[in-house]
Amino acid sequence: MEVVVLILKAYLLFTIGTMVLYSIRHFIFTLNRLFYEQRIYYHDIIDSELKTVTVLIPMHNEEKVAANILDLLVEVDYDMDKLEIIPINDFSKDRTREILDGYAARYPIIKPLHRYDGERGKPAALNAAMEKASGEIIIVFDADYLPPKGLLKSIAVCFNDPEVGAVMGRVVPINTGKNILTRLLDLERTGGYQVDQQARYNLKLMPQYGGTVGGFRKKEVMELGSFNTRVLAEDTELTYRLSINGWKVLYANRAECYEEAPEEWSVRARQIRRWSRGHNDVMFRYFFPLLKSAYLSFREKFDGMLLLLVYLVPPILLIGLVDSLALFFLGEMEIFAGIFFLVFIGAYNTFGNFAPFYQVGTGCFLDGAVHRILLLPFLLFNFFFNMWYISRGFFDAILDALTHRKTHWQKTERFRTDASKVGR
Amino acid sequence: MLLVLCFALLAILFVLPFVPGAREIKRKDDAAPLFINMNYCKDPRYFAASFRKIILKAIGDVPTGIHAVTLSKQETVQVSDGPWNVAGSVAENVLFIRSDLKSESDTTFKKEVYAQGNVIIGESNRLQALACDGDLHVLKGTRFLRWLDAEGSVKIDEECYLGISATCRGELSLASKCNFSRLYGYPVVTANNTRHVGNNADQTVGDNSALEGIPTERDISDMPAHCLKNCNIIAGGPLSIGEHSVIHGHIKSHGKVVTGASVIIMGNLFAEGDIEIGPGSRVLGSVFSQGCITIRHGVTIGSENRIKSIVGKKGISLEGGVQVFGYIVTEGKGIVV
Repeated sequence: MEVVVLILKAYLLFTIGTMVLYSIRHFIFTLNRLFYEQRIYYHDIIDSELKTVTVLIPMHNEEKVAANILDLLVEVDYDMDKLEIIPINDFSKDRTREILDGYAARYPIIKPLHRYDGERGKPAALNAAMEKASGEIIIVFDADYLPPKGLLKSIAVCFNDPEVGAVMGRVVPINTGKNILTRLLDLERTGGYQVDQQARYNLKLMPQYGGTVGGFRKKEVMELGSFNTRVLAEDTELTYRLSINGWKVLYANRAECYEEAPEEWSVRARQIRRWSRGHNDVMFRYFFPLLKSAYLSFREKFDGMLLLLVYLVPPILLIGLVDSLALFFLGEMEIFAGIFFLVFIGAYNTFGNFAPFYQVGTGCFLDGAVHRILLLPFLLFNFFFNMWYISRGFFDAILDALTHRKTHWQKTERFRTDASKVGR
Repeated sequence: MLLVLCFALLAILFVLPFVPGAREIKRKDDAAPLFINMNYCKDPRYFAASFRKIILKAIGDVPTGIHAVTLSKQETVQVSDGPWNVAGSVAENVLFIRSDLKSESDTTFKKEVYAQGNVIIGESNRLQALACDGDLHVLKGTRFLRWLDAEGSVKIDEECYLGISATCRGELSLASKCNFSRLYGYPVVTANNTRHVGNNADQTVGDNSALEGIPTERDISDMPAHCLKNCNIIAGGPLSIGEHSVIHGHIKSHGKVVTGASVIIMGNLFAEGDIEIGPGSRVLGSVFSQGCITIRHGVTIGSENRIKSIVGKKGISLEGGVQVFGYIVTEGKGIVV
């Protein structure tokens, strides 16, 4: 029994240590955004010789949103001789095919790719489209996104830097006010982009390519093996694959684009579970290659490792909670006597519970959206919700690794009903 | 009873943090999505274009005289169909001149000015903003608080302060001791410019695609004089390029970059530290620094028929005889020395 108690106590200490570590990381990011010098992005560069761009839009049953994004893309501010748009109809059974063909008939730069055989899913669709694409730069949007006119230039200009392999823009929910879930997701996005990604860019760490509102060099990515179709988090995988091979991933805070956030908890649950499953799969694959990379500095590797492990933290916390309950009922909750106990409790309650919260609050402050800061306490519910579904995604990833079972892409459901009200 | 009170207090303390948020959810004071300007496009002459659009729409063919007009707010506008001279006084109204404009020294313009002809601004004037459809000549010691723009060329004499933006469609010529934040001209030239680049870059320049697919060399820190490189260069720290070197590629440095005299860089030059480009050098691409940029005498950035940029976060210093085809911007202090 003593051994069990010792293990439980050791695990609790490990949990608290993990929470403190991540809390310090988030705290550094927050302070950086508030008080320290900000690195500028390349959006001020005006260049008449931007590279050729292919926009890829993976679509699976996207009849609700397909027309919106295409209407916006045909009006973007980019040299039309250097632009092509490939919407990828990936096994759609609704009207997506007809919509895309209609646009292709009207706009020569739209060249749909209809896929009804071969491997399914976003990575496979992107690979097939890259074979067809003529652009030097690939820019990817999910079908529910609403790109502003100047976005492509903002993204493409960073590839003037010979070291940049990929770039990520900022995602802003357009359906923020729909319900409590969309409001909380809006807060998460604000903290994640306005503070977390920008601070990582400022500190020359490893901003993350997010698979949409972002771009990458086609030739170089294809030379590195294109997208792994067995990986659900193809965006995270690309971030690490490029980074360990000497390419930089940038974050462009002013390259903003609207998205449609999930409006139902069940949809959000599936989405975040898939993210966790995919991200943890990438963690299994890239943990050691990251540490061994000759191109990354120590702090890039350290933060890259923390980023890689980020979807491991919720299951660690979940098990830690169960652990603490077990210790409590065993009457063994006092780990150390006196001051150390207070330190642990303080760390848990001061840092742990509120780690991302001050990032979100700071993000809202920087955006000038001060009233939504009042919603911060409600993130408590999101915290437990995410912890549960991310933990389930983690165990999915373990099963994937152990059984080598095939993963299947799950599309996020769309909720748009009135297309006339968006994007204008 | 005490137990009930304690429990009630605990419940209140638990619920209390959620009350303001619940109120916000109900009232939706801040439930709109964050604003993104869906029509925003990068335009270095945006201020002037926007002003012209507003004033032309508001004025139309209003005859000569003083009129109350709604621009972004209610304004009094002096309209003139003929040439207009302002002599050493204070112009209180917005000026809309359908011809040439000339001001004497020490004139203060308290509002925006739009002249559809040529403009000469006298010495030591003070202006808010000026749009001109012809050529513009600004004499010594004049200060712009906001911006100036011309459809033709712009000539700026010594010791002028150019506000947040000085732009034109034609050549933007700057004398010494001028301060700026953003410049756009085709080209932007500084005093003593010879308008001729005496190296072989013009003959070899192609578009950036000519530099695609070339290899990359890393961790170079010191390149001797007369060095020839046919590759992109990524330096983990400071980079020094010897005089008369030619780089057929793009450069990225994580430290400071210093080039010697008469260096030719066929691609873009990016640095996390300061950049100093030696006299008589030529960079055919854009130049970007998270620090300061110093452009020595006789340097040319970009080339004809192309638009390139110089972006120096902390400051840009231009010596005489510099020629830049495109855009120059800094968050810090820009100065012609």
